[in-house]
Amino acid sequence: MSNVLRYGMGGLASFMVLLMMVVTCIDVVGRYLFNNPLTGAFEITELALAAMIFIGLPLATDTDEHIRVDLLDAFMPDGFRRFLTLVMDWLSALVLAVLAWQLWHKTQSIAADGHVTNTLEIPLTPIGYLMTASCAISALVLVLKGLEAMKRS
Amino acid sequence: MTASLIGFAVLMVLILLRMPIAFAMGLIGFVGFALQTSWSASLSMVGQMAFDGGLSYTLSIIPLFIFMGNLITRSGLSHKLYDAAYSFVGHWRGGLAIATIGACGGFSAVCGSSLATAATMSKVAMPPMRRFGYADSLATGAIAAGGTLGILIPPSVILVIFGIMTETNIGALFMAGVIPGLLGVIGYAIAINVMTRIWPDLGPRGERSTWAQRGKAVLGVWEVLLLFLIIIGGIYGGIFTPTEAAGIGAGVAFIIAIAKRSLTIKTLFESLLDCVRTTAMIFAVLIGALIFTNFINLAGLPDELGWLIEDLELNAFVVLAAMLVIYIILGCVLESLSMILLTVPVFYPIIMNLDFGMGPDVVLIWFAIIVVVVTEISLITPPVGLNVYVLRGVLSDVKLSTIFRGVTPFVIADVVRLAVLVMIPALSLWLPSVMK
Amino acid sequence: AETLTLSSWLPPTHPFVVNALKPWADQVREATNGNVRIRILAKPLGSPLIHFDLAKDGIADISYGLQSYTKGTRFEVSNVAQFPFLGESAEAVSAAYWQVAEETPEIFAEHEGTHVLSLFTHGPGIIQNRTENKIEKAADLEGLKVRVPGGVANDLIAALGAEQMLVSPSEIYETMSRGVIDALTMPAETMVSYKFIDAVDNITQIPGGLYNTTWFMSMNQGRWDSLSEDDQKAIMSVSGEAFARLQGQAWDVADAAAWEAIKEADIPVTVADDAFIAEINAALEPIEAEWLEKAAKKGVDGEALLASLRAKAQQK
Ligand code: NA
Ligand code: NA
Repeated sequence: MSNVLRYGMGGLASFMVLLMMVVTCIDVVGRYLFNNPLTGAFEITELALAAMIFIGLPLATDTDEHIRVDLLDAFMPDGFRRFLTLVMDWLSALVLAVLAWQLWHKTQSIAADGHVTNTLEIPLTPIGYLMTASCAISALVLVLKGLEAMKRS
Repeated sequence: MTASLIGFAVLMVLILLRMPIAFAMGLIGFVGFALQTSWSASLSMVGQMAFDGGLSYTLSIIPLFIFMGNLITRSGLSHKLYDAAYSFVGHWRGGLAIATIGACGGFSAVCGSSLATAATMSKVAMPPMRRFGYADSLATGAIAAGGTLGILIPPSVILVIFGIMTETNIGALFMAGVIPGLLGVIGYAIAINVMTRIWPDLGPRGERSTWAQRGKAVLGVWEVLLLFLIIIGGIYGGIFTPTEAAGIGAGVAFIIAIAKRSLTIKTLFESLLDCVRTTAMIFAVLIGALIFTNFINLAGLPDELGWLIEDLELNAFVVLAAMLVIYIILGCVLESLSMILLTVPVFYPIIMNLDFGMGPDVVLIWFAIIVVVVTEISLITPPVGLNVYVLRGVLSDVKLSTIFRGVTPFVIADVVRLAVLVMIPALSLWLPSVMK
Repeated sequence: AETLTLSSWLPPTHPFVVNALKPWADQVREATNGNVRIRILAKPLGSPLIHFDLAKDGIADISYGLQSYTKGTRFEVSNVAQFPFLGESAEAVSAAYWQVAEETPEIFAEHEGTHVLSLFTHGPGIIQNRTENKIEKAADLEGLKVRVPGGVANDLIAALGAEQMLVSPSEIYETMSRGVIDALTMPAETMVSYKFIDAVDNITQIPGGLYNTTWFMSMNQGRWDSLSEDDQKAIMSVSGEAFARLQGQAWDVADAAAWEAIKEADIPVTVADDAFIAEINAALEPIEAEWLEKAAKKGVDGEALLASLRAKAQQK
């Protein structure tokens, strides 16, 4: 699982960062040297950012990148701390699952209204489904991590 | 007000019980909003916030500035920055620590994040300071404190987020951070000087460099200088917007890294992956905060605080002082991003309505700088100071208590700087006013 | 008493909020004998772009915004009031827009999921530019980087030969003073509210407006249905055309003050001549034709609707 996340999704998200960089550079250089900005640079950047964030979410979740406060750790017995982590991770998984459900709803209504971007008229439904899948996978990652931790202890 | 306070209390409990801050804010915001409206409205709200929060052109600045900093580190330029600073001040008392602060300031000019600045500099500056027999407390304290400059000296992820939340001009915010950032460098240098005067063993002198060596060392960092000039010059010369500056900066850093032959496919991938993870984490907090502040807004906290201040007829500076106290207390537990996302939406309308003897748009610029400085303090104060934790992560043989002891003089310098910035708004506002 | 939450994204000091939204909230309270109170939230519950959805999904009870912010095919007939040359007065155009909407059920149908409290426009769009040359004909726009507001105006600016630039309102001043954009098109009022007066060197006024924007104020349908019939009637007595006029007056007063400020600042104003207007009309033709087609698909005679709007907007 981890390697699929790391190389597959990581590669895709990395591509998005490079895309944002290249698109901005082409836009600015084109505008100043050739008086010819890149049409829709704004939209490509916006969509690439959204794609990057949501492809990155399961990755960040997998490597436990999310900020948490471990202030009271010193005062907790080891077993209790592990138990607490499990509860909080599953609670977080629930939050992500609700987000996935609602993003799916949102995407359905976007599809019905035929939302597209302003200039390039790129449909917004694919990014909506990507967001949905990302939150669902992240929730799954947290559930699996919890199960693994339970098996270990 | 009661609902909001209960919400805050439950949020704190969940955070202290190890729930990731992003999800805790989302959960409390969702439940709180539902209790004020309906479950179906709250469900739509969280979906809407997640979708909308992800689609923000201006926030593309965040991954690109992080990527730029990663590339600069890969190019070995953070080492050269340190060498350049060392060549000038290394022979002073505590000179290596002062060089560390200088290098942190330089790195901050091409990196948008404090954590990245502290992590990078711990790898660069710690080995030489150890070699010269510096006390761990002073050495780590200098790195942790110097790292906080990352969010004040432009570019800054936190100033971008502040600008978006309050609709304040991001370019002006960047300029406003320059002088307070330099003041931070000077203040930290003075703190090191005082410490090593009292306890000379903390930081012995290094070797004096010749002017030829200094010249060479400065030439070694021309790329960093160029990058900073391109970013700031480009924004102020009207060549691109602050958002575009991030893309251009990353592009130039990419070319520098290629030219220096410091990138392999593997290191490039790692730089990118690190940037992706950090950005995803930041956006999770952002979206969580959007949901939570919607609940607070609906529960009426900003309104009621505003009325309370009106009724009590408090002096503007008393209100500001109260806010700063809240920041310092919150800063003990929360890190800078969550703290700013939670408080600024509540505080900035209040600040705009108070009379500080200046126009509402410049008040926000001044307030932004004060907020960033006070959250810089939170990065190094116990019990939760993220920069200190970052250092602890990199230098596993140093005790946490040693680092916290080491940052004490720097916290004092920060508090003095904060007071000066509050009393003399021109320090923040002069540069943006002449750069118009 | 019922309290209805209203999500407002314009700055609290904006003429629309001060001179229309807040007075309207007071009127609703009076008209319903205190049964219904409007609570304008301290901060909006989301970006301006999602304000229609906020009301539709019941996240806020009431919201307002531009139909053009909602991308896609939802608002097409409603865009009728985005066309040029509708008139000089926001009050007259707004009232006309509400009147034609009342005769065109398709416009309300496009706002399904909400009860439409009012429909309106702001004042006529002008061209503000920072380049030395005055804009007197379409050729003067050729290659200029123009910040566009969305909707029909985007297509029109492109058809006139300019480059479209998308810049968020809070960044316009900076991008213009630094030369990232050369010009923009917005109502005169922005010269004061966004302080463009310091950055703009030339103004071109197009009689009747280069464009306009359509706005809605809507309430969640379920919430509306939950109100008593008396309260509903009372609310509508101060909404609909009454609110369209109230807010139109607010824009008109702000526009007039801006023209005074422009005169004081000695900024040259060019009034578009017949030749320029003919060029605009020529550029408009395909855009109008495309819109007529979209309207026809929804079963509306667009030509008659537009004619009716223009005629009504001429009456005070
Ligand atoms: Na920085
Ligand atoms: Na702290």
